[in-house]
Amino acid sequence: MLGRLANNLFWMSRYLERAENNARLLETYLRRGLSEKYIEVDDWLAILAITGQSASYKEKIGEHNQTAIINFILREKDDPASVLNLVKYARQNARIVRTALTRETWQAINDFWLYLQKNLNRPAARNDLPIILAKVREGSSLVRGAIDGTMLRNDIYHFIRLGVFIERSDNTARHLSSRYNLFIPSENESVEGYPMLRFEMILDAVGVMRAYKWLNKGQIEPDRVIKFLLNDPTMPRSLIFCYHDIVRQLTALENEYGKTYEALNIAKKIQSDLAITLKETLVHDDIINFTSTFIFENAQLSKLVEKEFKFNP
Amino acid sequence: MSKFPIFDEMYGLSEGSFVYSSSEENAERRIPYNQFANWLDKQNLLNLHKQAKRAQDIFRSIGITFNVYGATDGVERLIPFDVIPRILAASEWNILEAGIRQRVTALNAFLYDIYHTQEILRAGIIPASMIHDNDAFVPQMMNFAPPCNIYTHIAGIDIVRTAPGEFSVLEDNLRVPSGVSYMIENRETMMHMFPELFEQNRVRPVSHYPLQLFRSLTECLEALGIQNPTVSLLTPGVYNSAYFEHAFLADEMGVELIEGSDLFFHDDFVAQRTTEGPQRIDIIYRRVDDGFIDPLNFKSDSKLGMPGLFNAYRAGKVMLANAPGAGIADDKAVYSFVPDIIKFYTGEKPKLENIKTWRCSEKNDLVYVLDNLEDLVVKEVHGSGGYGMLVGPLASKAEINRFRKKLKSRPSSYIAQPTLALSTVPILTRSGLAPRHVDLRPFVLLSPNGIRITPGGLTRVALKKNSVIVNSSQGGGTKDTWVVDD
Repeated sequence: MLGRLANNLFWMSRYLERAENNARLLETYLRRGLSEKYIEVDDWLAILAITGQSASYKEKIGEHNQTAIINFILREKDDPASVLNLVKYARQNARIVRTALTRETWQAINDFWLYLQKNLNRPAARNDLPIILAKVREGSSLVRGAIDGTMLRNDIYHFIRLGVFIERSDNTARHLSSRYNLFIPSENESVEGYPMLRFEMILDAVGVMRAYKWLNKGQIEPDRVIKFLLNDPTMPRSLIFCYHDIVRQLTALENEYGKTYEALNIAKKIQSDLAITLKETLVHDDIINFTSTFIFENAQLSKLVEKEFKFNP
Repeated sequence: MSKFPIFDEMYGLSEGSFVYSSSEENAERRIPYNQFANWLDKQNLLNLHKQAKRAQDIFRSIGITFNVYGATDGVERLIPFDVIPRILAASEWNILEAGIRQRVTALNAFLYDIYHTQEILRAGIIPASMIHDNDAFVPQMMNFAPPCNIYTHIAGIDIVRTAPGEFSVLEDNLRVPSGVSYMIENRETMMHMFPELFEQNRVRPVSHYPLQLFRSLTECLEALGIQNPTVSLLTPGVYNSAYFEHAFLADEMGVELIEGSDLFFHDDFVAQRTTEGPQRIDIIYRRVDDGFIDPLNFKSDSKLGMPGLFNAYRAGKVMLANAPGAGIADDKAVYSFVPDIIKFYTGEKPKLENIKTWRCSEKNDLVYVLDNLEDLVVKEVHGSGGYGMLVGPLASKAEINRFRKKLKSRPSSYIAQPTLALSTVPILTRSGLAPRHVDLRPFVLLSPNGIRITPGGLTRVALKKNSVIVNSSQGGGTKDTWVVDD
């Protein structure tokens, strides 16, 4: 297939995954904000760090205000990382590669974009937010379902899946690395349940709260949460799960093209590093170091994939 | 314009008003519309409007949209689709098909001649200056024979109708004719919404066009002994107004949709950059205009093509469709000579008429045109898309005077034609059916194995009352076009 199209497929997939993750994050904080007293302005700023919009927000808006932050993440026209723009770019990429997509997949993406274009044209009313955010998750799920149900398992599919898992592992790692204050005792430490609340919110924002509770009989324990997010091979958003799939897709590409790629070696190394590091119990500083290193190496792998598969001239 | 009697394809002759009167609605329907009209009588207006709305939703969801150049909002527009089909009887279609076949054969022969010995100029049938001073003439094509001597692999011939048996050619499109995706999607949508209509009527299919296009292209190289040639479709990119069509055709043919930046030379061949490395291309169906395909040979600032592509073409390393320079045969000034072109190359009388055309480059014609501006349609020779033309009977005095000045300063840039009483077909409006003017663009494929013409084509309809401009950029819409067996 054309290298340019592989590029579009990969980024279509990354943008969709990112839009979904950011919507889930907003949903969590909105819902928790209703029932918990301890959601602070700092927490809202932390969201911007996870979505990668801190600097842009500071420059364009500045003031620390919940409504402004929500609108910025959701629909800021001048910020490329807003949910509205992410879906727009995903759709633009899909439009360029529509010959590589099944009609169902293209229509799922196009309808998703048409919905957001209509509903995020103006600032969303507070009461409409839950519906719109749920629609973002739903739109992304429909695309994923159409891909899963109708697309051939060939290179087109492999590049789409690579995009999903490189983006998703980045997102899961960011939840831990950007919330460094989780691991620093705060003045609220004495309040019962406070530190646990932060861990609950991470699980919620990653979309795996029920899964975690089911496995751990409802007990929220920091070490278990961290291992669950990093190293549980059955959990589809854990780093190790993402890397199993990344290695699988790259292996399939090697087989399909009859060539070897350095990207596969790097992916395997990151995969085994995950397994080794996480055998030991991690102390707090380690988590920060580990996730920061991971985010960097994951981004390097993404660049290597772009280069080795000739995404650009 | 209501002074002319107008031929309505469903009800026959009408008084030329833009609503149907009760006498028409009770009148006999013309034969090809019989079955359909019986069905239509049983429909209620509300339901038809609901279906029409559904059709628009289907189009938007599938992404059948076009971008308007110069529109600043960057919004993709829908081409309005009218749910009432335009119906031709097989006997009517046969007349058209024979005429188009003859015309396209002659135009291709004309191109070969113009780019070789120029017999037709020597015979004094066309003034040499009309060719050599024409921007559409590509001197780089001289003495080069494209594969199987075919220049116009794909042609779109615009036809208008003025009476039951009277079809004439309005213009030829031999460069990169577009609209074929609408022809196919219009049919798909109609079959989706009104399946019963296709059980009651024997409508000739159109969906095989992409396969025929692919075959027509590959047959050219297969005739030269190259088996299973690789075809790619070259698009100017996602912002081009016809991008949907490019993607649609690439998809339906199962070929790559490429941009100039995907192309490079590899081992002396034209290759596309794939994830596995370079892949050789044998045929490029290019939807990029002549001037933009190669910055080394044509417009040097073009980024849409590939440097050196034309050299590779001339060296026989890659086939381009259509051939560069084919535009000299669909030029509006050359158009008026097409009847002579047909006689010269086929020895036959033209089966389809041209529309009477005055060439403002000629003194007597210019005088006549200036004296009769309010009755004529004046077109720019190199214009397209319905821009830069004057429709005399609908223009104000001031507009006519402005045009008069333009004409006097650059007469050779213009041609003029009589205002035609174009046929009408009903469209669905808020208050019911109303007649609107239509034209027809059948699509023609030329290959060494013969000429293939998809039955029907794209019907464009002027949705505005009184209007005769059917271009989508000027408020025109489209209709499904049926050829039904008698």
